[in-house]
Amino acid sequence: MKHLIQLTVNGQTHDLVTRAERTLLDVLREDLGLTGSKRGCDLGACGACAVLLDGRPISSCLTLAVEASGREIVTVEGLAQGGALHVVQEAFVEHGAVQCGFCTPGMVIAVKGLLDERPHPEDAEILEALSGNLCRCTGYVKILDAVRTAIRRMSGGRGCEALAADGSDLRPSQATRDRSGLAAPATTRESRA
Amino acid sequence: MTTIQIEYHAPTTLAQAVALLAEHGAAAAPLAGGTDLVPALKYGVLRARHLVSLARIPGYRDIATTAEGGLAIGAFATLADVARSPLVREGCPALAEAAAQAGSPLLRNRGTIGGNVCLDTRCWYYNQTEAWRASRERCQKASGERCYVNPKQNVCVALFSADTPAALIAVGARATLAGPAGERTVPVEALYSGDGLRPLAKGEAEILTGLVLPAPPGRSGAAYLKHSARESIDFPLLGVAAAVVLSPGGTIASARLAVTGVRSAPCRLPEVEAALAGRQIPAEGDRELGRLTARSLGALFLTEAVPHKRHLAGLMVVEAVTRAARQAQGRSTS
Amino acid sequence: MSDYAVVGKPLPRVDARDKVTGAASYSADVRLPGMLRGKVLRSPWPHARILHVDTSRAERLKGVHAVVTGRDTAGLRVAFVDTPRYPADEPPFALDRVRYIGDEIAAVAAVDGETAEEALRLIRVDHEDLPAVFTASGALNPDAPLVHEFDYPGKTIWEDWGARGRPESEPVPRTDNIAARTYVEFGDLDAGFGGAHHVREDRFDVAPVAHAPLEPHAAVAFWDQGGKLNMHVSSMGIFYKRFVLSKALGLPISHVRIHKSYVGGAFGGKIDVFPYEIAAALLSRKSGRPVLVELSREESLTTTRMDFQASVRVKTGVDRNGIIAAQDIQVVVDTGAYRGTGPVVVFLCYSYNIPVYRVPALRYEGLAVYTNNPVKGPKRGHGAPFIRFAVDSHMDMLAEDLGIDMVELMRRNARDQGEVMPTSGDVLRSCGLKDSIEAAARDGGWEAKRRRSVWTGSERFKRGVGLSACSMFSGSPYYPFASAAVLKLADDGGATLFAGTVEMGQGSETTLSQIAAEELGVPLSDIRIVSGDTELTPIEFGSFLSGGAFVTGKAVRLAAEDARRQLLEMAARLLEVDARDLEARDKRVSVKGAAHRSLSYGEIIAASVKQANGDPIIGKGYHKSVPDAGLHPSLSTAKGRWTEAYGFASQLAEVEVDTWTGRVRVLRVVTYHDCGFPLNPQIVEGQIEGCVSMALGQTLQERVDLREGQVFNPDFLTYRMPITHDTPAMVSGMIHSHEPHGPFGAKEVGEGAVSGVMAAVANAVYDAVGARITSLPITPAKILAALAAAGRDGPRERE
Repeated sequence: MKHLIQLTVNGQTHDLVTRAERTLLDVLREDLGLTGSKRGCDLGACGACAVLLDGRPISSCLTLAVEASGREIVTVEGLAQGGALHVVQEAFVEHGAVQCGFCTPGMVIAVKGLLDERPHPEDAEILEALSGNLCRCTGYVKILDAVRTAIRRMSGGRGCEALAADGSDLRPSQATRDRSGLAAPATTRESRA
Repeated sequence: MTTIQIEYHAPTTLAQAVALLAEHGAAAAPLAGGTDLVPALKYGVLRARHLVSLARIPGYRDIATTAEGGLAIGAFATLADVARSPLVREGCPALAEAAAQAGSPLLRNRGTIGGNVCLDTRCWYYNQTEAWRASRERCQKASGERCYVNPKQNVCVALFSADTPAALIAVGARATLAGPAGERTVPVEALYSGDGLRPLAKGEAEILTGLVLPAPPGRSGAAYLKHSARESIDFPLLGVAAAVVLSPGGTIASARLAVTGVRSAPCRLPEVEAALAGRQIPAEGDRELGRLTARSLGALFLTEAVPHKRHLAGLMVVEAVTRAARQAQGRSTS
Repeated sequence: MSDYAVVGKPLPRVDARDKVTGAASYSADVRLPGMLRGKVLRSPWPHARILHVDTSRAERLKGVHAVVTGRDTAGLRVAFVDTPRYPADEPPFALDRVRYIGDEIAAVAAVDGETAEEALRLIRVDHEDLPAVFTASGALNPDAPLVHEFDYPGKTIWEDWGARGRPESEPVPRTDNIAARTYVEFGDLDAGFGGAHHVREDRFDVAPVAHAPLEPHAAVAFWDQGGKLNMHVSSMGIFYKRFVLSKALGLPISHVRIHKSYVGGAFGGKIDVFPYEIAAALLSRKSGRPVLVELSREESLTTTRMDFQASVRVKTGVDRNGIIAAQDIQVVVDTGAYRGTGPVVVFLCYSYNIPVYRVPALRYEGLAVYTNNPVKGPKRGHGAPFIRFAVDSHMDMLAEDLGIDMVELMRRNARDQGEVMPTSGDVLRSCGLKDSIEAAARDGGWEAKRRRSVWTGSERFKRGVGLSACSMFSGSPYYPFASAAVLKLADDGGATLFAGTVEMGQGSETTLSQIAAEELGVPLSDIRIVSGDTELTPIEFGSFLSGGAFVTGKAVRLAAEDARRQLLEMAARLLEVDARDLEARDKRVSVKGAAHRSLSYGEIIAASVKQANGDPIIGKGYHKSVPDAGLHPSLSTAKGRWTEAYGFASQLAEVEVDTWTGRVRVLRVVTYHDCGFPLNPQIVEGQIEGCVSMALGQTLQERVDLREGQVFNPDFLTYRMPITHDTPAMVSGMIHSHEPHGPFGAKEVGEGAVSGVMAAVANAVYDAVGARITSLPITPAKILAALAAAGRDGPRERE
């Protein structure tokens, strides 16, 4: 059965006809050409298809498009404004939190959803908020670094470029990363100098 | 992935929804967050051809305290709403813990507590794609004849694995059902048939609209513990909820235990509850209680390491009871 | 030490912006007018004879445009290994037999995915079940059913390159299920074991794991009017794909073009040419429309290769100081229904292991065995994870037997710079192995944290540390054997780099651009890269066998050097000085010691066009993966050159074991990777961190749950890879050994650090609680069982 639905995606309203069994992800990718949201598992287990639905990150592969009718959707394509990256996107670029990039759209959306709701989350909250977004490339380390930087930036604090200016490398959160509390070692060594 | 063609209905009142469910009987199913139902649709195992959406029905999403000092939770509230509700976190931490651990954050933002309570049972042979299932005859739960997990008895033993029902049962919550004959309330325990094929005991046209938690008795506490392969995404290998009332002397006056991930319904552990009544708060790692728990689980299916699961159940019951008792102590002194 | 301006710096990736905005296009994102969707019908039977395939009803379904079956690919067999000894064995679509659950039978293209799936349901396949075999040991039984009844050595697709098939040869009847065997023996084994102070033998088992890149496999195909096939594919090397597709489809190589797509992770699983890709091409040819075949997660996980199920037996004789005198290793892998890379992995288990410890006498046997399980292929490390798990677990056990500290035992046996590998003659021109062992032990707190076999405490949570080391090639002789690069200068001195690399997450577009920028003397922002397209770029080795940065990086450096030389020569003419007196940096050429006498690149290029008959200055570079090697080393004897440079890594894991539940929490992983020189330290760190995370998944939780040939966990809910909560603290350090043959001293980095984690964790678990787990994954149930056997499990009885 076909249904007329109205989706507001990244501020633009679309009237569409769709069959009831199609998901929001299907419609975004196939009908609206918004291929930024990825189909990673089609089962709600990887988070690559995450979009904001009325401000909250959800799996668009498990949401029927008809259920999203009349609601506000933000996809990864809607984050950068006027060519300027969102702070979260910027932090992902700087920290090398992106490798193959397939999890990135969902990951960035999940971070945005978290920070919109809780601007100053604890580390444990960050881990939990991103726990439904799988990444096979990064081991999450640089993603978590990027989130911490985005948080500092958004609350007006200095970002990692401030640390880089004094000559140290771009790794502001080594201490946090190293849960055992030992001082971080030098990262490079000369062999047989 | 298979996609079954469906008829989608979007009623705007509860009465309309009930009428639609009544009209289409077994061919209809209510659709809430869809996090359990949409995978079933993709797997081609959903029996319903009519989906009755609850999304456009106003109400049934509030969380409030009752006149009796308990909690009333609208069944259409998302798991995220329940997990973060200050009322739930204060009034029934066990439920907040269970809701906060269900699925992943992305799923909790869509999935409702009603949907979690009404979650379908799961099995290795059932929660698979049509192509996967083509390797053998259909199993009972997919409208076939056989059970591959329990071939001796040939009875479906699909597992019930939702987190929140254990907590709800432990604290003695009741469920409100709206149906063609009006509204009724039943203990949450009574929502379950124990049958892996059709785990819910409610009528086809009945919609779960709310959950009512009684006011916690004095000197009581409740806790929920989940053991799963990973700390998110996964269903519980085992979930244990304990609600404990302490006597004025500090011993356990009564305890209610509910486990999930063990049978086709969340279940109580009456033998262990009886053994706890009247005794001291167990010490960490109480082996005797652990053994009793392990024995009381009965036959276990769909579990790769059965002895390990029994062993874990023992540990978790002790820890859940201990935590609940500590909470009770905290409450009685404050 | 270096005063490089661009390489060695943690510069942001050039592909990152596209990826954070959702603009990056992957194969499944390609949208073409009239594009159809293709779906594949697969065998639900592990082993069956196909009697008849009737597609008539599917063909009549409205919306169906094309159907492909085994009849369309009759006589064709494709495989990663295709030699007279190991001829290709996989028909793209079944003709008379299917050999595993997932084996391709037919494919359909229709207006949308739902219609294509409906059409699959209408295809009737008459079959007859055949007896099947699901374990390597069962398949080695003389009575086992034969998975393949014949070999077909008549031809090999490598004949253009000098590999001769046996054209006269009829199909050769097979008598067993051995898909491949590598055998190596050197030194005096009898004397080695006979004279040993101590000998022990252990066995290790490893469960199969999945690559599980986030991007499911996908391919788009469309044909030009001129009969040229165009494709977007999930790949790791576009020239290899182009070659095999051209051979499979009988097209001139010039009639196959792979277009650029980003690849959403590969980890070894996207090197092969798969039947679904051939299906896309054939469906598109038949229908005259573009076709997209996007595999489901289940298909990606079960039918596009997975890592091997392996068992390893290690026997070692040592002298009283722990110096290895002789070693006997046997590896048996289940390679599945087709050879996949079985012949390669049993070779690599030898050749990735041998660079770590000095072994004067060795017998090595590797067997790859056919079964009716899914097909296996290369996964990050390709054998190194399980051979290193086995050998370094075994070394830890030897260390305890001998009362020698593991670090000391490793150090005493570790190879040094200058050593020559037996059977290959590869020379370790750079080797930071010992430095990496020492650094990992030091930063991991080895001395302070080791329990030294003291497990008597009554505490529930116990901690321990463990160590392991590993090595990896930097490219190897395999098609297309070499990389080339072209650097085209623009009027203003900026440049476009043409390199065939595929950006699949490893950062090659960035690293190669950095190399070009450094050598050319321009900032990174002045380099544009064109990659991933066989038509626009010269040949490229591919991002497998860890050859990307090493082989292609060198070609790029040479291309930039060539362009720079041309700039200097033109400037020398203009400035009337000797070119050797000039230096180039910041887009200017100036006379050394007289900076005021300088020209901008733009001025030089303009002059070159005016004075050199229109020459706009284009640099060209090329490099062969192993210059003095043949087509490939012998997989069966391991003779012939393997690689030019070895990467090394040492890894220390610190774990906490919950002795009540058996759960292991990895607190920290310290890695020191000898990558020669980190071209981009941020990218190198990212590679190490990704390796560690993937390796921890394999060590503790991941396992493809295979039962009678069927994968019971073919989705991301039940195939459990690590999530954020599983992230330990990571210290990822680099050893700069400055590989003389590498670009700026660089060598392998993307694979090595995956292989030391398994033994490091297993050894750490043993250190923590005294339970030796010899099979992966190390599950809580295994730990509790081992603790119970040792009487150290669970809470104590109430006092």
